[in-house]
Amino acid sequence: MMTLFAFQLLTPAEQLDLLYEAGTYIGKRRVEGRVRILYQLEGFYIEVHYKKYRCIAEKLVCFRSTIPLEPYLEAIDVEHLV
Amino acid sequence: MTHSITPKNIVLYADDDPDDLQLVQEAFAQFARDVEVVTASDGGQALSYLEALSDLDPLPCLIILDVNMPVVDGKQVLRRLRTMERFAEVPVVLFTTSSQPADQGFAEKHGAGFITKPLQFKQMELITDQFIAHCAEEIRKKIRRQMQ
Repeated sequence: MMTLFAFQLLTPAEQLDLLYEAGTYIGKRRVEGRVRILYQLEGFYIEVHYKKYRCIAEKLVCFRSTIPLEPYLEAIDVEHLV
Repeated sequence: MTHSITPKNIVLYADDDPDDLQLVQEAFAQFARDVEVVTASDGGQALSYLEALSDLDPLPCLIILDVNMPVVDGKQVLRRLRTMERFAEVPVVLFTTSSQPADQGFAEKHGAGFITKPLQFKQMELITDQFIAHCAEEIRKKIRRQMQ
């Protein structure tokens, strides 16, 4: 099982490869014109900050807290479920 | 929906995410001499485009479908295409954020490819090759000849 600590020891390229293979896509948002994509892996989350969408990642932010998920949850359209 | 007047090999790509539409259009730009990417922003629009093709119009050499789309989703489009005699054999790829075995199984069951959307450039390069590999053989050869 991959832990958050073990994930953080990987290089960014290895982290992105692992996310591609095993990550679960949660959502996407735009901050100051740049795209961020949120993935879940095991019991933690990784937000990929893109310089160029799905091509050049400038930063990966890993966390366990659910607080950073709020902007993604707000963007989910639940109207059709009501 | 976007397409030019010049007749080329058509790749039809349906996705509601404008960033993904642009990403795939850029990936195919290197084959612009042979391939034109026609885009649709949902599954309904993709089906309307296909249903409007006359018997004289060439069929797309590849149809790329996002899974989660409004109006008609990618899986519904694929199911519909496989019941339409004219499109039953057209190569289709589900291009999705999912890497779930169930979605892969669905694609396999309906004779389609399954490609997870990339997270970095080197994956996008591999995916472009996979798209080409799914194209009809004649087109594939033509594109690879151009690349040599």
